[in-house]
Amino acid sequence: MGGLQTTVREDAPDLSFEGERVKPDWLFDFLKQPHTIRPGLRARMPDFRLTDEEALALTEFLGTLRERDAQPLPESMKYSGTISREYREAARLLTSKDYLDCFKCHVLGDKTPGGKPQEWAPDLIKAATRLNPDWIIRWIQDPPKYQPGTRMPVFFPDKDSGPEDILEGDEQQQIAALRGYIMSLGDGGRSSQAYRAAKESYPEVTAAMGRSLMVKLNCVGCHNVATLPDGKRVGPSLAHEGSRVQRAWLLGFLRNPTVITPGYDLLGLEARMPNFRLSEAESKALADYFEQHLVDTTLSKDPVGDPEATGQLAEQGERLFEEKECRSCHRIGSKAGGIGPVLTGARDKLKRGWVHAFIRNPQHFLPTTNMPNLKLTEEEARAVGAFLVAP
Amino acid sequence: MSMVMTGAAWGYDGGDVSNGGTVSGAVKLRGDAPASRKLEVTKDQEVCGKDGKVSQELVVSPDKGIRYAVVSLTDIKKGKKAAGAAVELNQQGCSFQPHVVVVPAGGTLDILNNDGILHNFHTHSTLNPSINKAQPKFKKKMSEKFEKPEIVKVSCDAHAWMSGWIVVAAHPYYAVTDESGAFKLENVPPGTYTLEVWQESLGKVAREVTVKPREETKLTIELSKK
Repeated sequence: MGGLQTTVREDAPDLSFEGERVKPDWLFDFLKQPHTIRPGLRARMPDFRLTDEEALALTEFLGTLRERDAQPLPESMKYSGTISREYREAARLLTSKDYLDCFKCHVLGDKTPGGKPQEWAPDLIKAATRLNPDWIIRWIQDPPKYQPGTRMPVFFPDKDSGPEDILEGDEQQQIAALRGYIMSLGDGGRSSQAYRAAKESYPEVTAAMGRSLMVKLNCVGCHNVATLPDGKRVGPSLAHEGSRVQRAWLLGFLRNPTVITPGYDLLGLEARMPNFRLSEAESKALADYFEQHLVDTTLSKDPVGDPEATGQLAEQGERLFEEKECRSCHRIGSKAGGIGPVLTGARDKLKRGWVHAFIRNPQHFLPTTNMPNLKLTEEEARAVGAFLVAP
Repeated sequence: MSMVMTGAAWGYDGGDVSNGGTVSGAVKLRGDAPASRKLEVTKDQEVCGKDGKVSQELVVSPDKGIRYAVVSLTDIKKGKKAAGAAVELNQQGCSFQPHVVVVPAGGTLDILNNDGILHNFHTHSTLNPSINKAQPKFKKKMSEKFEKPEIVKVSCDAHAWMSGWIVVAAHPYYAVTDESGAFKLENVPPGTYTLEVWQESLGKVAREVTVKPREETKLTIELSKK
């Protein structure tokens, strides 16, 4: 695995066989509204605010990710849709403490295992809605094959590994009984109609569209998908974010990221800041970190307003903004603009001292920026700053 | 030597040694020993115990001897035969006993579970295939082979605090230090070797050592916290 090496990447489930694993109607709902499945993971699947069309494209693409060389399951292991009395009794024994002790780690509805949530494995009551019945068989047979590094161990490594006194020691039947039991839990595997409805509304959506969206949204930055390139860093540089933006704006943005600024596309950024559903405490902790560590040391710790900024200076700034043709790149309000970030609301977002420092030497703060150094004097830069952000 | 024997694939030739010498000594900590870290027993307390479990990641005796350091001669090519008996690693009281176990490359490790609860055996290896097998109550013994010399961390995911190490040895000249930090490598053919000490939280150091016929070479190796 090349590309990014991060904790998140270690944690995020491998999606190489996602089409084998999950049901499309469940997946569509999950993409629209992600939630925790594996309490043990440190990473969190964020909400990308996908439209129905986008969620459908991703669902269709992930559905194509199958295991090509998979041996077909023997007839005796095919899912019948119900569980026999014999299998139910076998599963009751197998899952118990005397045998596989499944609930030492797995959650079962409101019954939680001992230890901390970080040590827990997925809630089996929810498994039937999420998983394909055949996948449960394959997963129990060899978890690390599908998710390298998983904490779920192999219970049936060979023909002699199952207990002798259940279903005559037949491992295949024992696994089938476990699958039947899991499928019988919870609501028996119903999910919403949203996927079907989206398919009817958007018949033109294809798996190929989902494939490009996976790359564009950088899903592969966290998830491994064998047939897709590795992820990249796609977000804007945060190296000086603590010097750049105001705390109040940052807190608001972290808790509810706005849609991408159109200009970002032209800075080579196609990613979308997702919503991590941060708690208030989490977003405050992040803001503290930004303010203390992600700062430019050439700027004062909290660049405040230009005390000498006057209405006159701001007017001079506005004239310069026109003269230097800033507007050919930056849009303000409803007035036309082009490739640079939109500057509407800059006064609620940017720190005052940041603006004129950035204008004087954009490349110092953002080496890859397309913003030219306009060679403004200190006085001129202050004037433009006063126009954009002065109160 | 035409017999295939343990370690042969790793450029080591085992046979009879005459005039062998001994390398012995102790591994000690330079500087103050940190307080041992308490382990939090979050599950199965009736079997695993409630408190009193401490991490074995750095166990230091009153005179600073380091327990569970691995001492080996890294460049020895010829010497005594490797022992053939299977080595045991016991999941007991929800800890791995011993904390560091040496198994010859190609040899068998028997993993025991007499705790009567579900454990698993999860190795975190680089050269050997990684293993993650459940060891339920009814499976009192499992056997695994390790082909390639390396030091492998082992954990039990059912009990997050459990950790141990498996040293897959290329030849018989490996020793794990005892509670006083002492080690002894016996019947070493005379010559000059590189002696390496590895400890899980202090890393590695290497030293040159010369072994003379029928003599004991003593040395103390100090490790320090980085």
